[in-house]
Amino acid sequence: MEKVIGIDLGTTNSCVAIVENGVPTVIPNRGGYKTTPSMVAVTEAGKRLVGHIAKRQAITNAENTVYAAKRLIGRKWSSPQVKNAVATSSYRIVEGPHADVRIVLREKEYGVPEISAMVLQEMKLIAEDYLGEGVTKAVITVPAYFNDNQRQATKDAGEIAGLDVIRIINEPTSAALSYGFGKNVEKTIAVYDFGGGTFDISILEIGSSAVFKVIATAGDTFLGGEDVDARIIDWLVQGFKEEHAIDLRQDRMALQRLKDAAEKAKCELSSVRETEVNLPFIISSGRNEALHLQRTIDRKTLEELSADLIERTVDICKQTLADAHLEKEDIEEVVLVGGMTRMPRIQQAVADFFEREPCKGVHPDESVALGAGIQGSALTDDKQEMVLLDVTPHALGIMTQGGYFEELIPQNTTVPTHRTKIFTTSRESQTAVKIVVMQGESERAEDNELLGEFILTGLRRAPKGTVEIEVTFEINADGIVSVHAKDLETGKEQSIEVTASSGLTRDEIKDMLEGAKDYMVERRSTEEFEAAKQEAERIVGEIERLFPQVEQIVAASDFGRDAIEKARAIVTKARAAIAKRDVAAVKAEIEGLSRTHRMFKGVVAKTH
Amino acid sequence: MPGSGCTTDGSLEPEYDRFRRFSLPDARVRTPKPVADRRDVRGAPLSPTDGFVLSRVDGIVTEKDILAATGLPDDQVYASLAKLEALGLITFDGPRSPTPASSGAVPAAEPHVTSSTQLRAAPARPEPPLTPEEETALGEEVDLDVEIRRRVLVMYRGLQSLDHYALLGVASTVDRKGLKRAYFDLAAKFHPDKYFRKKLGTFKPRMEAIFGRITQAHDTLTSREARAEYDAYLDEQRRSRGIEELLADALAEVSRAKENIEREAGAQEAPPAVSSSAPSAPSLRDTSSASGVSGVDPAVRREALARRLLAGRGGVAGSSSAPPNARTSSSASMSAITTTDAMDVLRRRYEERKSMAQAVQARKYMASAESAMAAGDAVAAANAFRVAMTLAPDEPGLVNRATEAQTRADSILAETYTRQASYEEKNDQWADAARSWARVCRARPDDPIPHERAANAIVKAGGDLHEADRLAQRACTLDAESAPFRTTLASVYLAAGLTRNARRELETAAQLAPHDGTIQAMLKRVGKSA
Repeated sequence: MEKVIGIDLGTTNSCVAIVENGVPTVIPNRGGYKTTPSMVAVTEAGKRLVGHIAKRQAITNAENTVYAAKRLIGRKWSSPQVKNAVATSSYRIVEGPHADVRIVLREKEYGVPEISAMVLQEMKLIAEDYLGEGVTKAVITVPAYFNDNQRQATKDAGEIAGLDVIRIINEPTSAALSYGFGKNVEKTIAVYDFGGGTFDISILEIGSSAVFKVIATAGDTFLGGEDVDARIIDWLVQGFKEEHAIDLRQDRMALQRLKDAAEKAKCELSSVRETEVNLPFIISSGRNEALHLQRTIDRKTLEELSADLIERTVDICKQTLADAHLEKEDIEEVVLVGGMTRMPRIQQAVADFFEREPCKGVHPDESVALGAGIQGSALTDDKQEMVLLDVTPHALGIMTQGGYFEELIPQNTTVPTHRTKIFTTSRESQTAVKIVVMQGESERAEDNELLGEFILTGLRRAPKGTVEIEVTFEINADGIVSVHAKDLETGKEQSIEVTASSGLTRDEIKDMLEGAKDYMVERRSTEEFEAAKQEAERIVGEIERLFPQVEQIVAASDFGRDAIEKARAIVTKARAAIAKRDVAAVKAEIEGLSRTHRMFKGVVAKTH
Repeated sequence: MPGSGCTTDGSLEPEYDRFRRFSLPDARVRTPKPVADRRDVRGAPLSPTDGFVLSRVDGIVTEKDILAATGLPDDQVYASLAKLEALGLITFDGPRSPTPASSGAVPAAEPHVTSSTQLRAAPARPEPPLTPEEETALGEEVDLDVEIRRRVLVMYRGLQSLDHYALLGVASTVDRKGLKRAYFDLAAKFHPDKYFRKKLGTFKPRMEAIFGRITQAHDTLTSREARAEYDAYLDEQRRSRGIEELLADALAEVSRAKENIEREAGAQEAPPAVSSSAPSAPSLRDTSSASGVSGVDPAVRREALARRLLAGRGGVAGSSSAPPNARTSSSASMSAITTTDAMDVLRRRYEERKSMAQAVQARKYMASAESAMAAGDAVAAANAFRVAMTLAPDEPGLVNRATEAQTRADSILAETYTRQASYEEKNDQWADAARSWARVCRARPDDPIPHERAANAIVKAGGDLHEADRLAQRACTLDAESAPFRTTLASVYLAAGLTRNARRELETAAQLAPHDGTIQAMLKRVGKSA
């Protein structure tokens, strides 16, 4: 049976896991790390870098290094979050052809899913290396509060990466799966997930028959560790400004260094009381002299800087508990997920709010990927008993006359589900009605996310309000929304499967998929060449080491001189093949080289 | 028992036909018997389905018969029977209980105890049979075991008819934990993810529907308020159904009473039927034990009696008012004449007995009606009065009392249906609400509100607009000054496409309530279109 990998596609770091012989396991990357930075860069030479290697060169190549692409995925160009990112990112963000967002790297525009696909592809490779076989199926996690457009964009990213995304699941839910897997408990738990870019809270019930039921979920897709970093950056920038009257924000390189330093300081302050931010030669002053940034930040300062952010997460917890119709006492366990939960102040805030010490048994960086792996296995392996009952995180409905939003499926409804409502025409002699499908909680349609629209035609000409149209919303187990409209008078029906928009067209996705495939072929052949080259060079080295000895031994005979010449020719040919980067030729030469090497060794051995 | 007497009632013969048709030779033959009286039942945590099943249990029909007679899904009937047994309301074993005890208010006739098919057997529960459509679906080519397919089909069938408790297979007294467990176990079976990317065909939407419905049941029952509301709703539904059944029983009761009278009048050896004034079941049972030959045609019996009387002779003269010449006839002809004479005497005696028995019965029903009234059970009282009225139509004051009881019963019925309808409205069950309001209308024909609500519900449910029109008009007739009633009538017209009528009503409504924004808005809409 084909393995399904679980990928936690994080804002700052990604992680891949799999269930092997019933045990969920995180797969380390080549460097031995269990998480890989969600960063992508293109070098001056046009080479693509992903992960740690991209992160390492980020400072020197800030304009061509993408981080936190997840904050942009599935968003519209016009959204305030994008506006904010445009202002603060070191890489260039431009408007795409479908009012979507594109990222410019070395003069080339990339769709956001395309960037995420590069990270996913890397995760796929990590898994393939580990398993020694191809992987095509994946479960990918997203923040619980992602809307359908963001989910679709993530799915598209998977497709571009050559993955069949069999399911998108919510990160806190996923963490809960990893918490409850194989435990056989019946408990109501809260998962507090404060990651690099997003905050989520989910309340779940783990019941008999290994059923995990999400009761309520909420969050903020623009509240994460990045925002804490930004506070530290602000603080550093402000301090520097007061001291030198220079705004470091004006310099992209300085900004990138500040960003790294801020993140580092934040992490350090989880274990130490104070740390020093030391950035020599951060910028040059007007008089052409270099300035250094050196400042000590303590835990208390960080806590003050981030107090309102933490407060926001607690408010969301409060609201979610109310949405779940539960009291604090009903929560039997609190699970912390996401790097930010390492911060002592946050652990304290959670403990204070729930009046209970959070559970320590779940790894904050790995549990989400593990849960995704578990869900992948549960879906495809008949032996796995687990069933996940998830909810729709946002209300679904249609736009009605006057720009109002009429909800059909409320927030936190367990899927699969379906709901029906009857609407009437709003104009005189209206023969067609446009069904605008939206998602969100605002009663004003424009504040909600547009998912799709379609038109029901052939209505009877009649005064407004007299023709009745029955609209049915359905969400199936795969999370696919279909909307069905029926003219109750004529029985005429029209329905669509709502494909949320990732900002990319089908053709674009196809092209990007081809591009990604080409990249893989290229990358694979590069790897193959590198391996052959190494092998050839190793043997050449051995031969050259033996040359003087062999020459001495066989120089007397013509036959010997001939053999020496032949050996030289083979080495020269092999070097030429390597220089030409010709994999097949190098491989072919390896055989001759090996033969020569064996012969040389034989000669030397006989003589001694 | 609501249905206990019905089994001997000729009017329900079609049902018996159905029993016969469905009673296959190998059918299970356990016979459930009722053990409690109706008063107790009302306090029991039963669903309408349970109530209905219970009403079919009379100690005679077998489990299989009940399956056929109720028309409910088999597993549901089994579940109800199991629940009833668990609650101690029925029993499958032990001595045959002679009769279901009557409510005390309404005397019950004797149960039909001639059944000889009561074999004792408690086989394992057989597979519930599938309908032809389901059999077809069962044959669909999908990646599911036949067993699972069958389970899905049976479960799917129950979605419409089962209440939340029955659907989850739990008692209505179940606690939160039990509820959760039942839900999770079902969810683990029916969630489509269990069969991810398998070929499921029509089973996928079925499973999704099942899942949606059990989730709804779970969500309702695990919320304290929602469950309380739902329980109250079930209660109303049960009550109204119980009341309806009681009222419907009156008819059966009348024919039963008449039959009793026939029997009492006809049974020669029987003591003058019922000397005790208190109406009670045992007294009736006495009668029944005396009429052990109840299967015999009364005409044949009368003939036999006449012969015996002839042999005895003496008794005839005293009470006879036969023509004098009869006595002077020849022995041969005399024999003939005397036979006629005796028959005549007998008939008269029979009539006398009958009217006496009738009067006794009527008095009995009246007494029980009065005691029911005193006990506040207007429904039972109305029933008893109705029976009494058919037995003694000329009894002074009876009509008034009967009307009074009926009014009270109607008002109870109306109240419970009103509560039921309100819940249904709240939950967007418009078709149900329309039905419930219609029932209220029947009980309160002069109250405009239920008429207006019914019309409104019909429009919402997309039901019969003619009926909605009639109801809304009635509401307006009953209260011509109400703007909301006019508005509803207008919306009925709008739904029917009768804009001009709608406008007329809206204009009237606007005059009645000049400052109502809704009316103005609607008027603006129809105004433009005209």
